[in-house]
Amino acid sequence: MASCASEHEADLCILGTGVAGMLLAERARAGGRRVTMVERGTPMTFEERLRQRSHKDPLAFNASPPRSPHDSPEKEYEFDPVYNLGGSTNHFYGNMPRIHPAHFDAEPFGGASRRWPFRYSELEPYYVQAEQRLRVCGDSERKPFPGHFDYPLPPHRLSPMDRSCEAIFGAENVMAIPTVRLSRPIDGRPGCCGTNTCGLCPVDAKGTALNTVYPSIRDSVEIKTGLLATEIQCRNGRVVGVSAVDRDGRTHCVRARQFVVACNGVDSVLLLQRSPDVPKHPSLGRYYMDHPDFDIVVYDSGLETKPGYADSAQTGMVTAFFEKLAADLPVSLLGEIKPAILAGSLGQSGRDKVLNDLLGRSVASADPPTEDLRARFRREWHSVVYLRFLVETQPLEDNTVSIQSIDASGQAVPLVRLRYPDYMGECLDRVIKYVRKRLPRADIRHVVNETGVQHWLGATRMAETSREGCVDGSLRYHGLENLYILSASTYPSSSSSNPTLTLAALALRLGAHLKAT
Amino acid sequence: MYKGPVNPYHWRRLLTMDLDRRTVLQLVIGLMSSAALGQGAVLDQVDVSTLSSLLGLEPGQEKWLSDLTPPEQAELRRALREGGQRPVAPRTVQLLARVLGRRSRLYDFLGYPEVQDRRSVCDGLMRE
Repeated sequence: MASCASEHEADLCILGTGVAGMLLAERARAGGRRVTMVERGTPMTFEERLRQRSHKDPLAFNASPPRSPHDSPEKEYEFDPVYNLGGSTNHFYGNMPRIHPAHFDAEPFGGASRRWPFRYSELEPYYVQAEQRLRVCGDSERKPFPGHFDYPLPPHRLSPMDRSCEAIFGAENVMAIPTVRLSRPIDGRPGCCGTNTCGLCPVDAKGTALNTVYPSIRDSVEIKTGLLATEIQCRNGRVVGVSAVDRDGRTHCVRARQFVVACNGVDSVLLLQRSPDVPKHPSLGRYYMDHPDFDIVVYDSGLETKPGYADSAQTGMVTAFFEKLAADLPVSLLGEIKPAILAGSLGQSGRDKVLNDLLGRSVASADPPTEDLRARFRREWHSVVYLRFLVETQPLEDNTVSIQSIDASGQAVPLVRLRYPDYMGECLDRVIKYVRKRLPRADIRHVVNETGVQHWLGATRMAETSREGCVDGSLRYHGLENLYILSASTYPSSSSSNPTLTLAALALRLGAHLKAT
Repeated sequence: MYKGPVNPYHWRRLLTMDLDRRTVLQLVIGLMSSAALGQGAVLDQVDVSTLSSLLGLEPGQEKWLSDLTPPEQAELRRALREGGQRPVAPRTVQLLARVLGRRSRLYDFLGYPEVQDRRSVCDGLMRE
């Protein structure tokens, strides 16, 4: 180990201060353990974030990493993290669905897929705890997940566009999406007021690690900020310490009995790869996944959708394709109903595309031109449906995360390769066919698709053996008895759900495991 | 004191002078141009009124049309009068978007509650 400018000792060392790391720290501290957290960003207050109109921490290491090249000519993949105390919840949109039980308990689709090494029922109690702790708003009466549980807060009302989607997908397949955008004031925070800028909620109505968990650990956990973890040192099958550098290039050392890597799903991988002592399992840095998505717009639906009317940026979801087996699709899809897209400002690509289409359609429908454009435009506008589908990703061995270079500050610059799935076209066709069958006179258009939505999954995946995965079912790294990976990079399958709630549940489950050991 | 009728000789003399002839020509051209411009202004007002009617703009919204030049207004008027053409020329959509695309105007055009072009804290979405 290099000479240390400072040394820290703890029972548990957690690298990364996202919501999962903080939840684990809270549990460990409640169990009487001394916890040290290491974070590359620096503390920024909510007011400071609002003042600079960004969650980006200007003092964090490599706050603006370069884009990662992508090996598909169709789409460029961009790894776009925001480093700061509190992690990604500072700038996510706050959707918190569970992963459907089918992904745990049924056979995943072919190729390199692996089942989760435990069943849904084992994670279910931790889902409940995570939902309670993070104040998830959801509909306890109508939910797509089994089990007798209640969400701690009521759901947002379904928007007119959500309700109109019931005519397309069936009322049983349209429901309130679980979210940490508050549906009513609680804990001194206001309810969501529909500003539709959740990436930096201007009123702090969106739940984040900082406004939920951080207050309870701030004074009891040692949080070392402005430190970039650069190496995990091991001896005789155990981690003995972690090195981290500050912005002046000085090395700081942390020793602990147990270590948890809770960086994001790419940087966790890079840290393991750059640490010479860490065993390099065949799956390390492979099977990388993100959720590709596609948007479709339904014009002239004949429904009264009222775009722009909603209580929150997103209130409804479509679960018609949530279970891939039931829907006869190659993968599962989570549909998001987006009445807020059209309420955006000029210059936003999705909004402008649809607006231009609506204007063009209004002109074209004047035959003969007896009505003014306003009447025709209103008719077009009020019947438009905007849908986004997150698509399950097949884990493929050649979708990889690796180290491109180490920059002057000591930061590992990633090289991420993610092939755009070849089944996206089939998913799109099936969904359009599904909608067309129910709305035969509607004009359905494919608007846009993306390679990923910054859900970094799979590159240190869970499996019972080191030949198939990097961590076991308890998240312990194979070959090192006191190292755990608490990251969405451990997911062996992506499902189509937003990953944060599952990660929070895994954090609480890991807390129980560490307490027992 | 009355000096009697203008002596025609003076007019002839005036027209025989090169410099003065140029001045007169300039005067005539100027008068014609003024007349044409005046007529143009009247036509523009008709155009704006027609265009406003084709768009269905309400009182107070006509000023949005000033984002287009008079030739663009005339171009849009022609396109809307023709109507019913498929596909609609991208240029027509572009002109319409310039008039109606701003968030504040779009909401007003739709009859939605008033909003600013830049979002204030709580007017991102409308509540029922």
